Amino acid sequence: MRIADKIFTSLLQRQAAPRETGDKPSADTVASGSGKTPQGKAKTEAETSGERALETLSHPAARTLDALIRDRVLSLTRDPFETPTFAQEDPSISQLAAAFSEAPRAERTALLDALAEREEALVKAANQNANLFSQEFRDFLD
Amino acid sequence: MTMTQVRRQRATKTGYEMKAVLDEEVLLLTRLLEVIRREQDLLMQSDTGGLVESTKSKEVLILQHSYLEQSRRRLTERLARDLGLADSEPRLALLADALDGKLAENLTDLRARLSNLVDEVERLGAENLDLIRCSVRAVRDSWAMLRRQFLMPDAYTVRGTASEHPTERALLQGRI
Repeated sequence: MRIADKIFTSLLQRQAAPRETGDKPSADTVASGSGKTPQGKAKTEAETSGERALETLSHPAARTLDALIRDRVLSLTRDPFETPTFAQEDPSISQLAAAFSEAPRAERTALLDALAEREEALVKAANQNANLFSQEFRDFLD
Repeated sequence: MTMTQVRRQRATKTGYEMKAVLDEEVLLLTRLLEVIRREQDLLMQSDTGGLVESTKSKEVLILQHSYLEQSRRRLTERLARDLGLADSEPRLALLADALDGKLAENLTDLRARLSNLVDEVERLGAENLDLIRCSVRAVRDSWAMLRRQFLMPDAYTVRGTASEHPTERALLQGRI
């Protein structure tokens, strides 16, 4: 994630944080923010990522976004030369933007966290796939 | 027993050790191929949790393969030395040719199986890389779009169309 995006996430998290006199945070918000269970137990990476995954969020904006990204990926399998974009004129994009703007801040933060989580998972998988075998091993089998 | 016979005997023993390591590599690459096939499904379903798990499984298999490769390299050097091939590039085909009988057949067969597995893993891995690139682009584009939306919340109307007249508040927030 770029530095500007990290700053943006941190800004969102600060804005999503409850005011001192306001509502208490829910157990889930605390767990998601600190990486710990409400009981204070550390969670495994898999538990945390599963919980934060975009596809598990219930807000309509998250569901729309998940469907949009899936559609973009599937479009590649239909037509490898297609380069789908996120044009603002696209009705589904503008609907997503509207749903996002109506979502409570905690939901927006969760959604952006989930996006960052997905990007991290994708980048890790990409790095692995780019370096599966050494040249020496391939030469040995030649 | 002559020196040549001793070396030959040692080479056969090392050749069987090599066969055992390559058998293990075949099993491991078969499992890796299954994980990469499953990864393709997960990418198409945009299943982040599943992808994280699959990446971990792949990491373990790649690590195990690197351990096997250490043994394989050590055995390759020893076998090449015993067969008098240390000066040439010690490829599996060359080593198998220099051995006799069933062992030579086994190594030739293992070479074909490993080559097929490597080709298939790399082919699917490259296909998955294309899917990953596309997914990353979609994630980054949506991130950028939502960021704009957060900073300029009135850029869209509640009906989801782009607002022609963003309010002063939206413009002010756009300066953050």
